[in-house]
Amino acid sequence: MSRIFLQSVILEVTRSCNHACLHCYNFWSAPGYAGQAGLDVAAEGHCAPLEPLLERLLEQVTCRTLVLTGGEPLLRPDLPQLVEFIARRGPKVNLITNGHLLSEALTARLIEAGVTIFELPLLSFRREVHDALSGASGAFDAVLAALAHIRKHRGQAVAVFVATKRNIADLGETLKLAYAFGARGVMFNRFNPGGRGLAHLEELLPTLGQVREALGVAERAATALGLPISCSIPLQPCLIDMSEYPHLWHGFCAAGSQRAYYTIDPSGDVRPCNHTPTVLGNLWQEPFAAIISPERLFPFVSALPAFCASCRHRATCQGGCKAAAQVCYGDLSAEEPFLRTNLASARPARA
Amino acid sequence: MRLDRREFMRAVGVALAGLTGAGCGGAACYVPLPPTPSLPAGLATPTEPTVSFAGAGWQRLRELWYSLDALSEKAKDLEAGQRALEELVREHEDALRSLVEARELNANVADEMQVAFSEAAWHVWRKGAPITCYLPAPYPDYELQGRSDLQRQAELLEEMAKTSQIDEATVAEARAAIERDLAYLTLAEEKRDAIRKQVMEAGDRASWPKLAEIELEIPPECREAAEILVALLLQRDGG
Repeated sequence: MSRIFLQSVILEVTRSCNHACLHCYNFWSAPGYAGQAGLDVAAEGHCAPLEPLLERLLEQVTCRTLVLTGGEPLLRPDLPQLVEFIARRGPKVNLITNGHLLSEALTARLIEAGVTIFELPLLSFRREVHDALSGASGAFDAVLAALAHIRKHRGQAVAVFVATKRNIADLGETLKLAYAFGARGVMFNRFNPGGRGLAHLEELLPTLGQVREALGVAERAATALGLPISCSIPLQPCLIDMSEYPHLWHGFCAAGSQRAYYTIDPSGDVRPCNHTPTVLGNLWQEPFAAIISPERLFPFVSALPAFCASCRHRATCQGGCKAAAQVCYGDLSAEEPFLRTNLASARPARA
Repeated sequence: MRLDRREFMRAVGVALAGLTGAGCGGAACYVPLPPTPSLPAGLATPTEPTVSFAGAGWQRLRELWYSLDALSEKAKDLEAGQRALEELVREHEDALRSLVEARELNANVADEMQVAFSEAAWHVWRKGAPITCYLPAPYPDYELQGRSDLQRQAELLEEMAKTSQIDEATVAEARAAIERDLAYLTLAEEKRDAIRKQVMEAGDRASWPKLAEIELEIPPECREAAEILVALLLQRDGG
């Protein structure tokens, strides 16, 4: 069997979480979600081993980076062993965590086990704002302590700023804070509704003007501090001209390509990305190649809002985050919330 | 799974792209088309086309399909790749139009062929295009930052410690790490070389030491120099 090469694969190691972020995009945190919200790892103190699933995946797929996320991955007591298991087989390991459980000893253990990058949220330079958005008191102090531990033990951290109406004005000072604590980069992610975030769409979705202003702030910080800043949630060219921000990195949905970030949950279900509930297949039942075959991916990959049909950027932009359109409006081809809200200001580039 | 007409033609395009060795990579592209039980009985067996492919127009179409391989290379540059994709799709449409005008091809069939080619080209382009919304920035692997970066970090740490009311122990831990790195930079080159050598040798033994074992031994004068530098830059009085 020929191997599939992918840049990265995301593994959701648990659905449990110790935070209740208002902006959470995990589909199982959506109000009224009727499915299995996941094992309560914290209460049970144990969880099913994931090594057999990883073994099966890595037999078929060569990937540069395996991203561990959740829920909150640190709720798994076996996380360091899991990291070791992956690192021994070649891929780099990125860990997406809220940092609340990242003691100094655990930080050192995880770096030693092979975590290459810790991705930690830094939602404001103000404790009360960070804690409120995280739905957990003590979150701000914990994440800064985690950043300090990582710095001390010569690990790498990337700070993630989720831009919402509530915190977007804090971006400049928050970038300084991230830099001061040794963050090697910052992800500036505009709020992308999904999961629990659906219940807070109006309250959190920043305006177009706010996002443009924040990008200006980020551009200046990237220049002044030499800090790599990337906009990981797509920003539509019809709304925002990224050439005005030459020091910021930005991207678009890569579902279906080698740069896709297929997401696997503990049961072996494979999805096109971590924002969508769409399941392509199960790794225990089929080979990975069959799961990600073009005909399986067609509905997801080819979805495009009608508004974008004649835009010159449609192949790259694809209308933004189609998973957000799916979870908000039940249709992959709908305009996702940021585009829909700002349609009147959109200036599509005609082909 | 039942495919509609357009989806079927797109699947045909992707399968053909795979068969022409268009460099779209990934074993998944080569999965054969699913059987289509909904075909009318008379069409269940493939028939030989009755047209002759000798003309220049057909040759042009063939060339365009085989140029998908070059597209996969061009796709690595986002801007140039997108231009190449659009150009290729347009050229294919022009070639089909010529054949229709020359009455060598039915217009409806040409439309479907364009769907297949557009999908194939887009598929090949997308496989190679450097687009991703996850970690698009090339974050550096761990390396010690330069002295000016560390000094700026120290300044901002003090500033943010005041404005953000950060826990003192956390600030102290972050400050100590910056001072340690600054101290390392003040080491003589041969001492830094010795440390690197120690790390490399440990790596050669395929048994990396624990972090504590390669903890830097920073001479007191270096640590003091670093502390002075930080204090000086922050205009903090000693004592």
